[in-house]
Amino acid sequence: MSWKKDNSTEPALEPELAEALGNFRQSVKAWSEAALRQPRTAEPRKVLTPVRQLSWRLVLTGAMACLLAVGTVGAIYVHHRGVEQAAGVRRAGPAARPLAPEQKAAMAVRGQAEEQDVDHAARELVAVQRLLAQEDSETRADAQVDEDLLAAVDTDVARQVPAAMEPLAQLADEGASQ
Amino acid sequence: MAAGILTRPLDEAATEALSARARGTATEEFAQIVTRHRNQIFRFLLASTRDIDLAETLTQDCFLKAHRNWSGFRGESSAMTWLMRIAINLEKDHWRNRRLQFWRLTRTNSVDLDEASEWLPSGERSAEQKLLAREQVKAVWRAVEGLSARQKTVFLLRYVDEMDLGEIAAATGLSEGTVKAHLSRGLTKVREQMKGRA
Repeated sequence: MSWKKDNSTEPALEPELAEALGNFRQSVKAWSEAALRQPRTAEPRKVLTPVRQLSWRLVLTGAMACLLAVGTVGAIYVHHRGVEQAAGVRRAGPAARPLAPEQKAAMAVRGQAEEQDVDHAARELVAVQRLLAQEDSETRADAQVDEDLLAAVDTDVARQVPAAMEPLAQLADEGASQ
Repeated sequence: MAAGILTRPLDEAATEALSARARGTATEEFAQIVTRHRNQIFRFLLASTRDIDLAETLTQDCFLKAHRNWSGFRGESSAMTWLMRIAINLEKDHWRNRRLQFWRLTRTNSVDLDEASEWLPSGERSAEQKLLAREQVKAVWRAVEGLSARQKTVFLLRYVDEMDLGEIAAATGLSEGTVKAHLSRGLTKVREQMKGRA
């Protein structure tokens, strides 16, 4: 394939490559000539396209502005509502404050733990009372034993008293037997 | 006497007539330029964009701009080179603006490679030759698609518009050495595509 304006400085092309480039050039030329022969529709487009683009841009801008306005108003409303709720809760006090599910669960767990603590304390109290009662009865039994021993000692001592104190010892024995 | 005639200022009507004649001459001259180079400018822009509407619009813009600046054209380069330079700049501006308008990136009327490869010169060819030619044209289109913007411009100016290296250098504002380098890279890619096809 020979070019109209060959450059001597350019290296010679392989026959296949030259053929491909020649076919490419002829293909583009055929396409371009066919496009130029077609009835022209580019002139009105030149005038109408900016108008159409402008209207599309206007519609797009309007839609974006609406979205932005709705978003802003929504955000302000949500924020205002949140502030009002917080103020209401503050006015009503902590009792009226609604509890979150996590808080409720924590409170339930805490209640169960407290109930368990109370049961445990009661059981401990009963055990202590039992121990005290046992100790009391043991103390009382020991006291009885001591009294008995003392009485026996008194009797023995009274028996060993001199003859001069015999009537008194007999009186004590009688009192003790009665 | 003669000096008196020469130094006498022209009256208003004469000045108007002369400038009208000059305007008329310039318009005729420009019309000839349009007739002579329109097809070549359109062909280059069509090959660059693969979009008929866009190529027509850019061609019109090119001649409109050339008409506005026609008085400033001093003939330092050929009219074709000057017009091609305007066309290349318009195409560059178009893609730059398009890149900025990101929501319009998806909207393109460029035809695909298969459709572009369908165009073959009418002539006495067998079915096999036509098929081979179509494959070759497709391979070159693929190679052109893989080139950078500048390489593509240089390649198309050389192998579609058949401009020589000096004209390409003048139209693109590159040195001849750079033009050669771009052409060499373009040809290497075409060779690779041809090998891949084979």
